[in-house]
Amino acid sequence: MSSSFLAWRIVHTGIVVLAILTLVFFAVRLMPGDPVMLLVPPDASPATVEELRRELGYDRPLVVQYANYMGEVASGNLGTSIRQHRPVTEMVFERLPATIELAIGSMLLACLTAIPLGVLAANRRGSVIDTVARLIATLSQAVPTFWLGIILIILVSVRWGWLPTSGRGSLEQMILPCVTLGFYMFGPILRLTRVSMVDTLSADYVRTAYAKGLRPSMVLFRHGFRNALIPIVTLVGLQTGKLLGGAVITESVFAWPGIGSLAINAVYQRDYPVVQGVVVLAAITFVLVNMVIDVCYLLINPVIRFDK
Amino acid sequence: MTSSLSPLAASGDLAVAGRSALHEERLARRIWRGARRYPSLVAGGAIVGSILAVALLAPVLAPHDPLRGDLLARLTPPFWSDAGSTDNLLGTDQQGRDQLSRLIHGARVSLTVGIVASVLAGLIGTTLGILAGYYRGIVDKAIMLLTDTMMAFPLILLALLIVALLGHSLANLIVVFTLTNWFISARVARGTTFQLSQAEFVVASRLMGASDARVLRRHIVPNIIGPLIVVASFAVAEIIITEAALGFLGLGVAPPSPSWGSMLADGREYVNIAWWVSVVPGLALVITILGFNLLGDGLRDLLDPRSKT
Repeated sequence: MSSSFLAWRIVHTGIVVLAILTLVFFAVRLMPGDPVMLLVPPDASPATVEELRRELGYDRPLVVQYANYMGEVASGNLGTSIRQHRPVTEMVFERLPATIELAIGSMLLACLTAIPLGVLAANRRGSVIDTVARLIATLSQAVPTFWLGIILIILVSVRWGWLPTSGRGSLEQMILPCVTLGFYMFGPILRLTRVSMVDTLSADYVRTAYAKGLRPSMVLFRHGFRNALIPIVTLVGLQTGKLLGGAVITESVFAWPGIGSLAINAVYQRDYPVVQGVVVLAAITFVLVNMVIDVCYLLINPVIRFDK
Repeated sequence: MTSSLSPLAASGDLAVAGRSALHEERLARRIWRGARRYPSLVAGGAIVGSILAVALLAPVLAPHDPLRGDLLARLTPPFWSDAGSTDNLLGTDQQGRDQLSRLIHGARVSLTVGIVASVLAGLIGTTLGILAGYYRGIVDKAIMLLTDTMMAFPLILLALLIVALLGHSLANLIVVFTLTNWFISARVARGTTFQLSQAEFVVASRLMGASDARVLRRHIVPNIIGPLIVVASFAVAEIIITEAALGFLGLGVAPPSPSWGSMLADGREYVNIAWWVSVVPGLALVITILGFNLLGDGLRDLLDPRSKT
């Protein structure tokens, strides 16, 4: 294990985080129109606008503003909601448990179905199971989550009355959002599991293992599956990282009170500091998760060497 | 993952040199033979082709004006239902507008945004990717940092934010999706260009005194087009889904122009009494996305036979 890689990975993560903040800062200021106008309610008086402009430092040079912004972010301040007059970070952390719950629930569902099916499909290439698995995977990538969500609500909740249509609190309320989001993730995970298994199963050591007369199930799991896991774990990790930024569509369809619905409601109410805060936090979360995955590999498998 | 030298791309190089009719005929035959071996290419091509035709011929094909409603004929079910009529084959929406006509015109919005944005994003991404992969050094580092950064953003949120700030016109949607999609082709172009620039024939060409411009034009660009077409095909599907998602959230093309996403959202309030208002545009979306994904799969199998498993 090289500590220089670790150091480089942390520095790189820091640079990307800086780039994210810089990009967002300048993007908001490059937008046509007065940024201060976005921060006040539409019915604010000109005096209020001017006061806020001074208060926020928008009358100062851009470089000063940029330094101030970075300083604020570094001390954990991502702005204040103009509707609720509360810190954005506070609002996000309030919604975090719901988002984590949905992310883990749907990811578990996707993994528990896609990975076994992918292994099975790879083990019996060209069989009916393989064909069906690939068909479902193709569909999973073609069915928009908002549409699947509506169909599930129409059938399962409205017509059959089995499960509630929306909200959070009970286990029943978790099922439909998790199925919807889980199905979306099913396709990529299945495809990757299958390809990765096909690759490892054609490796020399697998042929040797069969030739030694080991039980096929043992070869499949010990020699095949274990070695096929690395890309799958990467994908699952990265996707979870994305989901922690909020599943905007799914949360909106099922009125799930997570970060995604916080962001979309903020867009509707033109509460831009909140939207901006969520975007920044989601991006930083993703970069950090990405780094943790890389570092974990290094700890698990010292054979892996990363090219700088 | 992507191979550096696919047979078709290599023959594209030949075509530049020869440009003979004989060669083109051989190429056409090879494409046809390949197509039969690649069912997803044929299926995807057929679906995409039909939808393109529908979009192009929308004014001719649509039986009714997509914007004119008939309040007396609100929420008429599709023709196969008892209460349906053959006048509105797929029923009507909450304002009595013909669903089929709105669907046909909605294809124009989805395809325009999807195709134009993915082509623009592909051009920008490819240019940056080639620069990064060919010249390396500081240019490469800067461009890669930018792609790493873009990749971290939740794209739907970014799109929402930009559309909310700029306003939701067709042109703005295209800008948004170009900005949020260029980095995928940049990464692919960079990787392939780097691989190619180390290939013997490229090194040889440079040793013989070919200029950078010539190497790029003759050897790099023709050979990276294959994988980039595949990327573009998947990008169209991705953009169409996201555009529909924005429409669904009320931030797509401004009403009353028909877009599949907003049609679907409108139908949400009526799911109890008129399921078809939401279900039908969703089906159109699924078929279109399926088409572009299959086309991408098929093109990848065709252009990079080694990736086929």
